[in-house]
Amino acid sequence: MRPVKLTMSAFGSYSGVETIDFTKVQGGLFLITGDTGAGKTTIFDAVTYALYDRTSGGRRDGSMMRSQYADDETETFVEYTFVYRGDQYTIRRNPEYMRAGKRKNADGKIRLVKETSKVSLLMPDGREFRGKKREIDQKIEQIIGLDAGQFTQIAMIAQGDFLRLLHAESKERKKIFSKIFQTQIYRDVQEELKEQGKTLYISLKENETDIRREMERIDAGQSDGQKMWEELLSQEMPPAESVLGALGQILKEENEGYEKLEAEETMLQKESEQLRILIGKKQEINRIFELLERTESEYKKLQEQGREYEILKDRALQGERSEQARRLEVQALRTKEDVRRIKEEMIALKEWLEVHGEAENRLKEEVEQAEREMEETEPKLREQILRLREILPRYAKVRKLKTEYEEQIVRMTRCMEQCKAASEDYEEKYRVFFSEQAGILAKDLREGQPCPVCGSEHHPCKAEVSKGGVDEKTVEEAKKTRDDAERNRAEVQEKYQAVRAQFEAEEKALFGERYSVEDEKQAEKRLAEYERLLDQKKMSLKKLQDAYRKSAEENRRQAGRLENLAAQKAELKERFTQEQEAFRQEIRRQQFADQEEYREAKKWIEGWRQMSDQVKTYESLIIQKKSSVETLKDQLNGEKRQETQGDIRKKDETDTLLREKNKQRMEIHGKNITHQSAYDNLKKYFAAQKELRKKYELVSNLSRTANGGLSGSVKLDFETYVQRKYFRQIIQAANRRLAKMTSGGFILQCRELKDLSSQGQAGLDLDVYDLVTDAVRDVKSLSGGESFMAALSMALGLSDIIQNTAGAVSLETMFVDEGFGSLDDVSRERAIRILKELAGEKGLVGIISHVNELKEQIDWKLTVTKSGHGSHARWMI
Amino acid sequence: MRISESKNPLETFSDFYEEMQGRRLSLEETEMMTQIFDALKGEEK
Repeated sequence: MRPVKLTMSAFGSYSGVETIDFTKVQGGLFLITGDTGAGKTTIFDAVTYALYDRTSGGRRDGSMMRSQYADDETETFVEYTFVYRGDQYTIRRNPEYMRAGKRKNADGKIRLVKETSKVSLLMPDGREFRGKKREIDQKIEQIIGLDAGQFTQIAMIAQGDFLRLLHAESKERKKIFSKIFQTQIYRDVQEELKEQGKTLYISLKENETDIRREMERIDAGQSDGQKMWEELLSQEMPPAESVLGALGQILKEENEGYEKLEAEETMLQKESEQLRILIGKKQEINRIFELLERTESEYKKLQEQGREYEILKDRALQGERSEQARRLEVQALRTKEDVRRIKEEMIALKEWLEVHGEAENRLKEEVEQAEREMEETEPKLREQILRLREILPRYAKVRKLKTEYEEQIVRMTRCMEQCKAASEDYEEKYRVFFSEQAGILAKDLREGQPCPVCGSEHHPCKAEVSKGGVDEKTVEEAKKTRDDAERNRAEVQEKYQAVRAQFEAEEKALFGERYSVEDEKQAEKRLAEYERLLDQKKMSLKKLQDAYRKSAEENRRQAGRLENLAAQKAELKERFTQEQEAFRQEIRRQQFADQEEYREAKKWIEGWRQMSDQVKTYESLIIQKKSSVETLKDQLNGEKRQETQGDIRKKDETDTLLREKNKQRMEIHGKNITHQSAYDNLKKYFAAQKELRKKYELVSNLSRTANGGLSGSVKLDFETYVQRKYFRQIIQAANRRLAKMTSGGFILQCRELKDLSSQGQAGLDLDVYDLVTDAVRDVKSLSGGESFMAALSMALGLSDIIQNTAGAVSLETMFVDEGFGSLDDVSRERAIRILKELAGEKGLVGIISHVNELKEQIDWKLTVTKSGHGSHARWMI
Repeated sequence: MRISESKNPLETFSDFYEEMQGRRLSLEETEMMTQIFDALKGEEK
């Protein structure tokens, strides 16, 4: 990377826009000079900020770099253009800061707005690299090939960092190398081993806890192994074989005890069962004795009730016998009652027939009378009705003709008037026309021409047509109108005469006199009257006939019913006689001496069945009891009452013993399950312990080795071991330049492992080998000038190694901030020579210093000055 | 430098171990370290 141009705007001590053109530098080496605080280091910061969003010393981030001298309108940014492997790139980056906004506050003051952090990257082809800020930062790092830590260590060696690598303790150097060479991963290996060791240690402790817990579950009790077990428990971690052996012995004893108790229990159970059967048998005999006594007592009581049941039995029998006869007696009484009822009914019916027979005769006479009257009246009424029905249509015809005739009279009158008017009109018009004849003739007279009437050729006084005159045409029209009216009158008159003749003929034929509307209405009224009268008479007759027919029919029906009742009565009388005889026979059949005895027995009819049931129940019960007594006696078969208390007591004692044995066995069983489970778990835990221990020892050894924890050995860990390889390379590269600078005075060397302390962290210790005295001494013994040369050599050596390890990074630039003040003239000249050579190798080397002698030794100078308005930089030769 | 970039980290460790212990890594130790390096390579990915 070779700088081309750097522009700083409102950045650090630069209040305005400051541009530095690095292409002006010839020869590669240039000096950045100026007073303390003028803004020399800010140039370093600007380059580092543009590339990595941080400053060269790493103590300030970009957001702190807004120039305090800048006005609100000036933007803060850094724009850095550089060439890398022949390609030119431009980065522009600005931090987050507050700038003046376009709007103002209500009080008129400028409103400050936040400008967000941004970065842009212009690629060699002029296009802007697209991506988010993080992606652009990654792209820049990819182009440079170094991260910010590496860059500031080898390309921008900040003020104060220069001698740090030289004088640092091994521990601090380790931190620097870890950052530069990214050896963290080797420390991760160490940590991983340490972590695995810890995990395994915890697992081992947990395993021991599990074993201890399982052992404490064991209750050795009074077993032979109790003492041995207690001794094992007192040990911190007893051997697996001892624990499992002792526990196996305890389990064996438990099993034997369990089997012994099981056998004893079986014996006791058998004994208890035999006693139970014996007690059961004795108790059964005693129970039969008790039952026999109770049954005999009940049988005796039943026998004592025998007389009462004999009486009850006799009454039940009387009730049953009398009930049979009673049924026939009731039947005969019912028939007798039926005969009496029919008799009464027949008497009532005969009385009814007498009354209704007379009524029937009366109706018959009325019907005959009405029929005779009807025979006389009906033909007359029918004749009148017929005549009126015939004459009424003719009345209607005459009425119609009369109307037509009257209409013809009106029409005729109107025609006559019209005819008269037309005739008069014509005659008037004709008269006027005739009187105007002189004017009409005179109208055509000419002087000198003879008059057709008088022949005079002179017409001194001609007649004139009057203004209301009528012409011939009008007369003709009036004549036509009169003729039409006359013709119409003749036609109407002819019709009138025809209608009149027809009307007069019909009127005369019908009435012989004139027609009257009242007559016609009277005729209609009479017709309605006759028809109503005829219907009324017919209706009355029919009603009478119906009443008569119904009466006759009812009388015949009741007469029939009377005959039926008489037949029923005779039949019932016969049946009564038979039933009476059957009753008497039943009395005899039931062995009653007479009806008196029967009536005495009838009082037991109600309830004889209940009494009979009671007797049957009694008889059944007494048989049953008798049978039970006999059966129980048979069951006893000569046995005597048994004694059971002794057997029961003996069985209770056996059962108690059995329960105790069972309890003991169950306790052993429970313990055995726990002990067996503990045995299985312990077996498993001891097996796991063996594996864990083996693995722990392996990992622990690796961890102690990797972490420099081997006792009696140097405290060198894995990461430091790797770093030593880089360290040796750096020293080798540094010594190439240091030998020149010191003219073979001394070189640096990495302290050998055999010479390292076994206390504390070590491995990156630096010594000085004096080539003149062939002695090794501590690097702290170097003077200020020697230290600067050694530090510069180390920095250059580090740069070489990083470029090699980072994959052929092209680092054509190096900036060194201060340190030259400590050199004497000779050493400074040597250092400048080395740097010039380096500039020849690298391309561009910038030195920041305020040492005046350097201004004379370095041609190209970038002078930084500072005023009250901020810093300015300008090239000077 | 990343484990995955290192040419043979196990070999480096093996050298370191030999220098510190005076003996080469055993087969079991080698297996253990191989697992650790493989795990760390996996984390890097």
